[in-house]
Amino acid sequence: MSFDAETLDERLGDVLREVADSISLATDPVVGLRPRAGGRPASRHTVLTLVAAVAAALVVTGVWADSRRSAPRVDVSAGLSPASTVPPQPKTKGLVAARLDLPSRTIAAGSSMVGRVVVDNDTRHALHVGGCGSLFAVALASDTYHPDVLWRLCLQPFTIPTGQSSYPVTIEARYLWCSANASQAVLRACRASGQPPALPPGNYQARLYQSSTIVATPPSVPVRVTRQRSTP
Amino acid sequence: VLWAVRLGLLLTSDVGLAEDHAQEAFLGLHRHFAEVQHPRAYLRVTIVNLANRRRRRDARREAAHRLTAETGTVSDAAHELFDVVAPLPVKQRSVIVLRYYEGLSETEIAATLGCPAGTVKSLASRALRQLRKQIEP
Repeated sequence: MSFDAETLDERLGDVLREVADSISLATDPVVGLRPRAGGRPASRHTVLTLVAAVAAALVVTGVWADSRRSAPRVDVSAGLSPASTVPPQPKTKGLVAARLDLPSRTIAAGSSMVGRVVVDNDTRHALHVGGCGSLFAVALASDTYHPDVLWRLCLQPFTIPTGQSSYPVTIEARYLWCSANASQAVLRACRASGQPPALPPGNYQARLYQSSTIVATPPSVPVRVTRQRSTP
Repeated sequence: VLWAVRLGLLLTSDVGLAEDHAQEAFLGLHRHFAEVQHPRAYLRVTIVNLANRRRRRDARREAAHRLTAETGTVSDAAHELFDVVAPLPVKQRSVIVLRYYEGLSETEIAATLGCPAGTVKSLASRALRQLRKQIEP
């Protein structure tokens, strides 16, 4: 073996990612893989057709539950203090960098705040990218909570102009998803209001999520979730 | 979609099956979308369950799957280790994939597999012990 038991813990993640990455939708997933003996032909097209149908249904019925995210607007000033700005990542070879601006580093459990994603496009040409609803989202994550940020499956054209542009994002101190059916073990039950429950107080990281890889992921911003404000 | 197929591949070692499981999971999501408010978790649970069901069925009639990848697609070292992961009992393999690929916590894995967190801990411990035993000279 080219590795030992000592490094097993570290290697497992890398190996699983390498195996998983051996298939890609950019090429036929069967390419590079030996056909299974007596196996069926790959059904990727069926999957894609199905997903397209699901996506269309979701968009038409508008049932996808992340409508809280705002659509991107360019050069919107949200009146934010730059105090919570994280320095942009070193510019990538594409000369497109991003940073997160948050109005505060603390947030009460169950509440929300509006921040913005600031993009510096130094490529000297506008970038035309595809997305659905919005290009960016920011969610709170921790060592034990990894939010599942999902995007509507549609394709809308977006243009990132040259220079600096900013995109408002709403950061919520609550779980992203919940179940109306409390018997579903994998989900937390929704509140009576239909909203997901508040995140427990503690230390989190505000992380940038993108509908596709548009910019290098900027450093996350530490955010402390404080006790829920009591309602009078 | 790609994420779903990749998860299926790690659980089945078979791209065709992985695609089928992803397809079935998306079909289920489509059917139950009104009640499902955590689509990714729903897809993950469905794919894990389908892979486990299939694996239990296959275990009765054939040896453990081997990843069938051409040299160059996956490095030899990765191939070596994955070949040790693949024959693990179905739940142990699921725990390893969910922990090291999906990055889930014990609680999240327990919710995905529908078992107590203590069981996840012991499954992970047994799986790692087995893997260490296999790779030690």
